[in-house]
Amino acid sequence: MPRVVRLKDIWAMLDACAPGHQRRATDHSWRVTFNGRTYATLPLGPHGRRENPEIETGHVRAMVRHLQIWGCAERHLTLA
Amino acid sequence: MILRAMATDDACRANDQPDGPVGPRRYRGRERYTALVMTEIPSPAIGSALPFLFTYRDTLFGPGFVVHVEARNGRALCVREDDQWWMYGVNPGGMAAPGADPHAAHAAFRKAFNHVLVDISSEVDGFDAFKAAVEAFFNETNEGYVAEWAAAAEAIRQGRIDTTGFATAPASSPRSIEVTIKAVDAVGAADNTADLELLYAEAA
Repeated sequence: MPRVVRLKDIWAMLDACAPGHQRRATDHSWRVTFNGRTYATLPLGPHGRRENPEIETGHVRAMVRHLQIWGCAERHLTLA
Repeated sequence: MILRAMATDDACRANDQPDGPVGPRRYRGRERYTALVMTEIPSPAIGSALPFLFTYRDTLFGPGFVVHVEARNGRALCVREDDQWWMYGVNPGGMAAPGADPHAAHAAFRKAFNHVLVDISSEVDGFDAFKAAVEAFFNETNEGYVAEWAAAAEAIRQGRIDTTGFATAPASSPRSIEVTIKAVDAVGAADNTADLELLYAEAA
């Protein structure tokens, strides 16, 4: 089974590690922007947007590396 | 669809593995990824990484325009992690996609790339804004994967990853993104087919 993180936990991590970040839902994904960098493929959830879906941790790993907040993020979420 | 990184059962036979790919066997000092990549769900060691260069061509509709996008020599790193294979974008850095094997991960990555372009086209008010947004997206580098991608390309150069049956290209191949207006009378049936090219990156 793929490892997953709840979306609300991802938002809480971003609030702590990427203050001032922007996030918005598009037709296909969440787009998260911080310090001029955008992660464009954070899933909305299975079968479209959901309130608190499970997100595969690979997306979170890619996002926090791209946004350059890995050190902070791994204090909030299990990513390794 | 053009998929140059095509492996066949012949690759298994060439490696004297009559039972087909079952794991990270070594043959003549090389790990056998060739057949694993495209034929069966692979099981090389966790942390195995494959460096790819990809070229995608898309035709999309924006507000009042038809546009052709050609992304050439984008970089992606395909990694087997604890749960499945992940295709991590290096350029563009802001995307990733998973799959049961590298082929599936790449297929999901390709689809996600197209979806990002579609999302951008729905958010802009004209061609210039679309072009700027797509260029910015493609040229963002995920610095967190640059070193691993380069190390994997070096592994290709050293022959530690068997590329038999795969096309390779220099890791330094120039990256570019071209976004152009496409005349309506130039749109044809071929535009319905996802056009892509996937190559192993090899360090110089």
